[in-house]
Amino acid sequence: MPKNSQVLTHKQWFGGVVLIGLSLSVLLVLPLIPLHGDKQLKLPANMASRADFLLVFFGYPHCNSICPKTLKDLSQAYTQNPRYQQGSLEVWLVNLYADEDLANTQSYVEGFHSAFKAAVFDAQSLEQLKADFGIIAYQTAENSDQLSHSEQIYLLEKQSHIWLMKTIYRHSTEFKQRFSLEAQAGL
Amino acid sequence: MKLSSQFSRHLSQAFLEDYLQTDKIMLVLLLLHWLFASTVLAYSYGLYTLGFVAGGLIMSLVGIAYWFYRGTAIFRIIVGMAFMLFSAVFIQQHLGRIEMHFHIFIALAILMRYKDAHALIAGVVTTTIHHAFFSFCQENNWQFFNTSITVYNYGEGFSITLLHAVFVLLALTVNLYLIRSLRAQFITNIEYSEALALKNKEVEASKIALKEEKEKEAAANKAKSHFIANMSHELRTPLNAILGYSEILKEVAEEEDRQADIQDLNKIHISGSHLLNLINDILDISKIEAERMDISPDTFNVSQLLKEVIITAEPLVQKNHNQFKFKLDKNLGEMCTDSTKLRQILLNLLSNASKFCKQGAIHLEAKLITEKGDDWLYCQVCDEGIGISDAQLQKLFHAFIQADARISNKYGGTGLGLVISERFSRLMGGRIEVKSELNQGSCFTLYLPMRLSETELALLRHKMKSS
Repeated sequence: MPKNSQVLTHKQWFGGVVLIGLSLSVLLVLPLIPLHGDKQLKLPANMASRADFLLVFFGYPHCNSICPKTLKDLSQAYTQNPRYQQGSLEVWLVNLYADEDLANTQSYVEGFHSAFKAAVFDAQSLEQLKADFGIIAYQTAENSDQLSHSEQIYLLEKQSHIWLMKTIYRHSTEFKQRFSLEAQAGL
Repeated sequence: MKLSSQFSRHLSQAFLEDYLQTDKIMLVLLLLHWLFASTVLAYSYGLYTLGFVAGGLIMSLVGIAYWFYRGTAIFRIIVGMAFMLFSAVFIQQHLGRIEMHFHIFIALAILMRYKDAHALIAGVVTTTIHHAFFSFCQENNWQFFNTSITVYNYGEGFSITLLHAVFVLLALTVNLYLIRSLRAQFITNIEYSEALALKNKEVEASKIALKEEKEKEAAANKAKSHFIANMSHELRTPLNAILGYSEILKEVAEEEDRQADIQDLNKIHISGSHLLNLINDILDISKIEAERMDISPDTFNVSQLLKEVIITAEPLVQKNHNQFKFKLDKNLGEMCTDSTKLRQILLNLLSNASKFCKQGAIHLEAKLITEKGDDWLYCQVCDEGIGISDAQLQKLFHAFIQADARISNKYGGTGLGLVISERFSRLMGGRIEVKSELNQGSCFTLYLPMRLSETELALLRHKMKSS
C-alpha cells in the first residue's frame, strides 16, 4: 500500500507505534540468541589435549570477582557428568597476566577441581590468543592488581588437528543455563 | 519566512519525494547490513546464526514498515532504530569489541540523508536504551526468559554508559545542526527550482509568441516581396517604352539639329536608365526574398569574364579620378557557376568602390585558392575611400539599409547592391568578407567555388529556402 501523503489516520498511527515497539523489543531478543559459532582455532602447544571438548576461560589466580564464580560454576558442571572426568572434556584457565608462574596458576585452578588445567604465556603469545578469542582485559585502576576482563567461556570442539569455537557463553550465568542443554545435544 | 500556500504544497511534495527516495536507499543499505551481518561480520567468531536471525528479524519489521509507512515519519523512526539494532548485532557478533561501536556514528551520519530529525532521534534513543537499560540489567543481574542481560563483555557500570552517551549526544547535536542547514539548503533549492520553472514557462511562452510573430512577419514579407516583384515587372515595361521612345526621339532631334530638345531628351533617357537600374535592384532583392531567384550555372573562362568586367567598370572608376589597378592570376582557367551573377557581383563591388573613393586607387585582385580540398575563386576589391565603421559593418548586408542614411543622400543608390551581391554569393555556395577602416578604405573579398555541381546546387537552393 504505497503512501502518497505524510498524513496518517489514527489507526495508522497506532499500527506505527506497535511496529516501533516491536522494533525496540528486538533489543530484548538479541541476548536470547545463543552465540553458536564455528571459528577455527589453532591452540598453542602447551594447551595440547586428548579431549574431544575444551571449556576455556580467561582469568588469573588473585581475581576476586568473576574468576572464582566462573570457575565454581565450571566445577559444578564438570562434576555432574562422569564422562567428562573420563577425559572427553577438559577445563582450562588461561592466565591473563603474561609470564606468570604455571605452578601457581595450576594450583589455583586445581583448588576448584583437581582435573582443571592452567596455561600461562609470554606477552606476545597471550596477546595473540586474546585477539583470537576476542578477550578484552584492562587494569581497573592504576597500581591495582585487579583486571576488568571479558567473562566469556568458550566451548571448543576438536576436529582433526584444529579446534572449532562451538559455543560462546557470554558469562557464567549463561553457561549454567545453557551448558546442560548443550550436553544433552551431544557433547 | 511566510510561505505561500502553493509553495508550501510544492515544498511538502518535494520533501515527500525526497523521503521516498531516501527510504529506498535506506532499505538497500539495511539489506546490505543484513548481508554483512550474515557473512563478513559474522566471520570473526563464526556467529552466522546470530547475524542471520537477528538481521532477518530487523529486516522483517523494516519490510512491513516500508510496505505500510514509506514516506512517513513512522518509517523514518523505524529505519533509525533498525540501524542501531544492527549496531547492537555487530557489537554482539564481535563479543562487545569497542571498534564495533563506530558503526553507531556511521549510522547517524547515514541517517542525515533524510534531512529529518525523526530518524536520528529514534536511532539515538534506541542505542541509549540498549546501553543504559542493558547496563542496568547487567549490574543488577536482571534476567529475561532465564537469560542474563549484558551489554559489555568487560566489566559493567554506569560510568561506561555515561561516556558512551556523551559521545552519542555530541554526535546527535552536531548532526541535528547539520540537518537544519541541509533542510534550509533544500528549501532554497526548491525555491530556485520553482523560480526557474516559472521563468522557463515564461521563456517558453515568449518563444511561442516570438515564433508566431516571426511566421507572421515572414508571411507578410513574402507577400510584400511577391507584390514588389510583380510591381517591378509592371514598372519596367512602360519604363522600357519610355527609354526606347526617348532614344528614337533623340535620334530624330539630332537629325533635325534641335539642340534644346536633345538636351531634354538626354535628361529623360538618363533619368529613365537610373530608374531602371533601381527597379532592377529592387526586383532582384524581391526575387531573393520571395525565394524565386535561381542559379543558372554555365562554364566560362574566368580571365575573359574579368577582362570584360574591367572594361565595363573602367569609366566608373575613372569618374572620380581614381586609378584602376588589377592583378589577375594567369592560371584562373574555367569556372562552372552563374556567370551573369558573378559579373553583377564584381560590377557592384567595383561600382561601390568607385563611388566612395575619390582621387585614390581601386585594386582588383583575382587568384585561385584551395579551401577544404576544393578550388575556389578569390576576388578582392579594395579602395582607399571613406571606409566603414565597426557599427556600420554590422548592418552592411541588411536589405534596404545603407551603412549610414546620410550616405544615400550624398552618394545616391538604394543600398541594395551589397545585399544582392552577398545573397548571390551565398546562392552560388560562396561568401563575401569585408574588412574596413574608417577614412582608410575598404576591402571586399569574394570567395566562390570553381565548380558548382547539381547536387551542391540543389543543397544550396534548399539551404537558401530554409534560411
